[in-house]
Parts: sequence; structure tokens; C-alpha cells
Amino acid sequence: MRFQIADPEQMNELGIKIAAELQAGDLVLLNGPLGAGKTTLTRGIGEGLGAQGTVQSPTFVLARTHKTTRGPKLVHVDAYRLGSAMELDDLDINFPQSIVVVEWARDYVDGIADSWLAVEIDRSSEDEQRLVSIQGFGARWQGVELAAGN
Amino acid sequence: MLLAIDTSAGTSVAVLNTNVLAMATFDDPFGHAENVGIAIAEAMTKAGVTASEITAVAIGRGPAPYTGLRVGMAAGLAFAQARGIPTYGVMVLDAVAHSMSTPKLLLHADAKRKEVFVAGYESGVRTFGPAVMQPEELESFAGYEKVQAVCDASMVGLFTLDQLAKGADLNDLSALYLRSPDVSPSPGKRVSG
Amino acid sequence: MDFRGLTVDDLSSVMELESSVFVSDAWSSESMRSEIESPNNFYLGLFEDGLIGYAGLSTIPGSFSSDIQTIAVSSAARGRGIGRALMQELLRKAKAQGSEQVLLEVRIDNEVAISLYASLGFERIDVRKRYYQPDNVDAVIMRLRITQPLVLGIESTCDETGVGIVRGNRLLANALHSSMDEHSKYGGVVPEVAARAHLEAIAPTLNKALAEAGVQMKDIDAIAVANGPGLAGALMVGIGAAKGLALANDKPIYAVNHLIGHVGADVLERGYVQLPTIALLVSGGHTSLLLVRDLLGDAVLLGETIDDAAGEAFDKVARVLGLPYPGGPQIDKLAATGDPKAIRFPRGLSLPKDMEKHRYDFSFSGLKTAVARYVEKAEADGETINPADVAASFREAVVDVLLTKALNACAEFGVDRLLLGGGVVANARLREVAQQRCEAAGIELRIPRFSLCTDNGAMIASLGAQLVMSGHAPSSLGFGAESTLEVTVVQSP
Repeated sequence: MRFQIADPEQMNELGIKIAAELQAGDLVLLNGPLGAGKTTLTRGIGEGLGAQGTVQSPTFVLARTHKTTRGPKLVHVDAYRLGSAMELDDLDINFPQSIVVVEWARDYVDGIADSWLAVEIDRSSEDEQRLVSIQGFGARWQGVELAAGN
Repeated sequence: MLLAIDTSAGTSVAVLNTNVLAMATFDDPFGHAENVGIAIAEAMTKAGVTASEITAVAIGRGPAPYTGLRVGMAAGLAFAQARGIPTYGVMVLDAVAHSMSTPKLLLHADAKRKEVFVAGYESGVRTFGPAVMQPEELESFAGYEKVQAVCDASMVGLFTLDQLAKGADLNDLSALYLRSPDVSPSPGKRVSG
Repeated sequence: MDFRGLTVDDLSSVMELESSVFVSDAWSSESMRSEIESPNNFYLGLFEDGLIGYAGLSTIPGSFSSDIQTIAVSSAARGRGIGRALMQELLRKAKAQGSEQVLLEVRIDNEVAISLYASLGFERIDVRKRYYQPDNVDAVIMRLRITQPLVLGIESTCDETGVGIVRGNRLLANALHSSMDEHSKYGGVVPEVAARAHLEAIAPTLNKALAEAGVQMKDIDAIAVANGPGLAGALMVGIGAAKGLALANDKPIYAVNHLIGHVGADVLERGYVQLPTIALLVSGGHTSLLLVRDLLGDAVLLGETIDDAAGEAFDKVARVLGLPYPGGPQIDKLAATGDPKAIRFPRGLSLPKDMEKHRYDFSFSGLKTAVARYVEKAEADGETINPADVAASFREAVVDVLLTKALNACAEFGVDRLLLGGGVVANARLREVAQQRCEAAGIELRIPRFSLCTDNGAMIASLGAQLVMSGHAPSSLGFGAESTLEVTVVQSP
């Protein structure tokens, strides 16, 4: 699925839309260059899940855990400073009971999960326009369609 | 009176004199920080002792998933320091092996990162490990009965008493991580292009 | 009993009772008014179909001493223990304020009052001859000593292990171990590295604190620990240790909010924290703007960073400029010879459209990107840049947006006090501009000493002490680590 995003507000809205599809045990991998809007999207996901506490860049701390009104914890990871997927495992995340969103994920799924939602944010222009591509991998995402964007 | 604390799997605390007087265990592999205080209080209450009657602390040093492991170790070390009593540290797989009578025993436990912690024992003596390895490598240990180890505070406590009686040195209180944190420094990220 | 604080609206009722009780040495209406209005005083009245008793306490901030100014009970209401009840309320207040003694004067011939005070623990310490005029009666000076709680606090929210000890509002020890050196090669904090360091540092840091304070664990009255916000794995080590300490000697435990701890650090600097205040807390992991009216129950998060913390932005820009970690001091060094006006970098979330949803929020991601773009573009175009100018201009943008929003908050909420806290307070330019702008705006600026601004155990001990001193029940044993604890939760149950 592809979404043309015009500004940060729309990126936030897309996050809320994605959140509607998420459940405990889900893994979302976000990729895109610096300033692409990964944290903005995650903020929208947090909003959609009713996350407690502000969704902020976890670069400094690697992972931030939020309680949510939806139920499962939202674990927001920044893999910017991680060298491999195995280091992700070291963060001791309770994957089955959480919804995990990983920024700078690259291909850090090897051995971690069988299913994941891959989100690529492309920013080719200097302004606020973004092209977001979303693809589901694995049994969990078979046949799941996000409500059509624009 | 020995207070034994182990958070290598769930959260487990036991009070022993020569035997286990009481044990309080939470099986949840998470929630160690929430449970450790309750488990200590519960074990002491069930054993009918107060903190001032505890004369030594025994802690499981791992190997075990790190975050949980550290909670029990921190609580045990602090308790002993506050009371001015000695702390003894044991390797949890040794404690599990001590509770079993299998002649050739290979104990394994989850080490995360899709790996396992392993130690081998023959007639109760450790002949291999502790080490981290891939699960497939366990097959190469012919003749050993392979058992998934789940430690608890009673095993830690009884093994500690046994070792102390034999004059063993249990003064190494460092955590057995068996791996470095291994975070590779990454180069800077470009904005453009 | 229906006690309530007195205001100038109660002046006439108070004066009526004053003149009937203190016939010859009653205070004038003007004196009573200024007593009730003084911010250092606490006046209390008991109402039962009108005012039947009142009492006043005076505490000079930072003096660790309070005075009973006056106490009066209407003659019709005597013999019911009202005087005692009024005194107990005042003593509760004095204790909560951190006073270590309460003084009063009483007429030597007032045996009823003297025996009441003695029964509350007051001792005679002096006599002032012919103090009461025109009656020519001596005054007896009496003193009650208040033993404030000895509290030990543990801090392990990020990469510094802190153990602090306080007695009431007095700082006795502040021991710290930092794992910053271990982290420098990783370019930032690694939770696993930090947590391992905490486990190793707890015992020696605890010993250091006890030695510094000259006390033993059995002397400690309560344990406090920061259970959030911060890194979960790191927090759990401190929590485990705190619970071990508490259970070993059967002492109460208080799980407290790390950010509120930063606000309360000023208590240890001068004996009290003046409220209400706007608090700007800036570190590697936090950038938060708070309005605090009551340290233990009324803190509001006005805004915080929606992406990078300010300290983090320094780290990232330092990397762009090829400087090592931690970035703050490196940027400062480079910026010393640079021109802060050379390049106008963006001040995040400062546009008119941001004022509604993000009025007091911060965003440093765009700033960081702008700096990176500026440097990359110059490299691509083959132009030389002046790194000192880049560092100075970047630093200026951070300082500008932090202080503009903080002072706007002071203005909007009518609070003429600004408190700075967190490790980024080490930045000299931030302090310099804060001083300039606060002076110009008539805002009182508070910056505790650096060892109390950076993450530390003393501020945690202090917050725990405040909770003990004002009679809050301890936390249960079941609390856990909360990596995103809200500022409205000062103590976790």
C-alpha cells in the first residue's frame, strides 16, 4: 500500500490509521532517512493506541515503553545505534504482550520475528511531501488491508 | 538463617536454616522489579522470621536473561549490605544440577538471541561450561541427558549450604553474563540522498 | 475540628478575639494584618459558629527554625483541648517545612500555657526579664527540637548511579558513579551497558554515601528510589537495591518521580524551594517544562520534546561536526570562538501554527537536520565552513528556544520564578542567557549547584524526605519501573 503524505499532520493521521490494525505481538519496522518523519508516524501510532506519556525520539535510550489504553504496551525502539538484530533481543522486550515499533530497523528481523509490518518513508523533495509504502510480511499480515488513504 | 534470592527465571526467594523453611516464587518471566520485594517479605513471613534473624544472603548470579537477573542480585546484595552480613553467589545451573541425581547431565536455559546457556555435569561435578551456544550444538553432547533448567531460590539456598559446608569459595558476586553488551558503534547517518 | 488557614478577610474576627484574650498587650490591627499576609507565616483558625481560636507560625526560609508567633483561644472555649490541637497543627507545619526547632515566648506567670508546651516537648531555655510590658512580666523562652527523618535515596534512571542521604532539608551526602566513560565509544547511552554498571556501582556508591554522611544503614529512617521516568533496565537495578535495603531493616520505602526530584533539588541548595515556579529540565534524556505549585501534589507538564531531547541534539550535532561524545562540552568548546549569529538555524515549534497544539513543546529534530544539511551541502558544493560558527549558531538556537518558551510560560501563568535543572545546565551559554533574560523580565532565576542539577541520589532522598515530613504513607512493595512516568505522579503506590 502507498500513501502520499503532504505534511506532518497527515503523517500523524496515518499513524492513527495503522494503530487501528495493531494488536499485541505485532512488530512494525520503520525505515527512512533522517528527518523523514518516523517519530511523527510513531506518535500517530501512539495516539491511536492511547499511549501514556509523550512519544519521543528514543535514540538516546534505545527504547521507550508506554502503557496504552488499548492494552498492550507500546515499545518504541530506535535501532540507530544498534549493530545487529540480536542487540534488539538484548533489550529484553516482552514481544508477545507488546506492540513494538522500530525506527531505523533496516532488515533487523532475522531471527526475531516471523511476521512484521514494513514501513518505508521516502523523502525525495525538500519540502514536507513524503511517500509512505507499507507492506506486511508473514502469516499475520496475510490479507490485511489498511483502510484506503488517499 | 539464610535468605536465598534467585531471579534467573521467575522471581524466587527462600529462607533456610539447614533446610528450606519457606519459599515464595512468582513464575512470571517478567515483573521481577515488582515481585522481588513482595517475595522477600512473603518468604520471611511464611518462615516465621524477621530480617534481623537473617545471617547470610545467597544470590543466583546467572547465567540468565540479564534484566531480571540483576533485580534479584541487586536486592540480595543491598539486603546483606544493610544488615552487615555476608553474601554468597552461586551459578544457577550448578544449583539446579545439585538438586538432581542424573549421572550425565546437560543443563540448558534460554539465553535470548536464539541461544542457550549450557553446562554439563558428570556425577554431580561440572565438566563443561557455563557457556553460550546455539541450540543445535547440544546434539554433539552424546550420552548426556539434556534437561531444561529452571532454577529457584530453594535450589540456590541448598546448594549454597552444601558448598559452604565443603569450604568452597562463594565470594565471587559478579553477574555471569557470558557475553559482552556487544553494541556496535554505528557511523553517522546522512540527511540528504 | 474545622481548622482553616486565615487570610486578611478574617482580620476583624481575629482582632475581636485578640483584644478579648490579650487585654493589655494585644497586637494592633496593622501588625496582625502584616502577620497574616507574610509569605513566611502560617496562620490557622478554628471556627465554630465564629472564630474561637487561632495560632500563627513563622518560618524564615532556609533557617531550619520556626517561631510560634501567637496562640489564642476564646475564654468560653477553654478546657476542650483547642490550644493543644492548634499547637499540633502548627508543629505539623513546622515539621513539613523542615524546621529542626520551634521557639516560643510565654509569660512566666502563664502556668497553663507553660505546662501545655512542656507536654508537647518544649523545654525552657532562657528567661527574658521584664519582657512583657506594660505588665512588667518576664518571658520564658522555650524550644522544641524536631528530629527530621534521615532518608537515603537511590537514583539509577540513566547512566549515573546516585546514592544520597538527607536529614530533613539538609544535605548530608551525595555520592555518584557515572558510566559515561564506558558509553563514549557507543556515542550514547546503551541500556545494557548502563544497567551492568549500576549493578556494580550500587554497593561502593552506597558505602561512599554512608561514610560521607557519617551514618549507618540502621540509622536510616526511610528509603527513597526513583522508579521513573528513565531506562527500564537501569531503573530495575535501583529498585531491586532499594527494596533490599528497606526490607533488611524493616523501613518504609518511597517510589518517587525523577523529574519532580529535579525540581525539589533546590530544597537542598538553600533549605526550601520557593513555589510556584516554572521548571525547565534539560538533559540527554529529558527536555521538559513544568509548572509546579506544590512539590508533592501539583505539578503540570506544560510541554516537552516531541522528538529529541536537547542533550541528545548536542550529541547528534557534535557527531555531524566530527566531535566525540558527549556532545555538550565539545560543542561548547568549539562554539567559544564562533559567532552565534552567523547562521540562523530553526527554532523548533515556534511558528504561529504551533502555538495552539505545541505552545510549550520542543522539537530539536528539525534543528539537527538543518545543521546536518548545512554541513553536507557545503561539503557537496566544495565550500569550507567555519565549524565554530556552526557550533555557536546551533547552540544559540537551542538556548533561544528553551528560554523563550520558559519565559513565555512565566508570563502566561504569572509566575515570576524560573528553576533550571538537568545536566544541560552545565552549558555556560544557557546559564548566561538565562541570567540576562530573567533579569530583564524581573524573573527570579534558580540554578542549584551542578552536583544537584545533574542526575543524583540526593534529590531523590530529598523528595522522599518531603513525603515523610508531610505525613505521606510509604509506597507498597509492589511498584515497578515506569519508563514514562507522568509528572502528575510524584509517588507511585
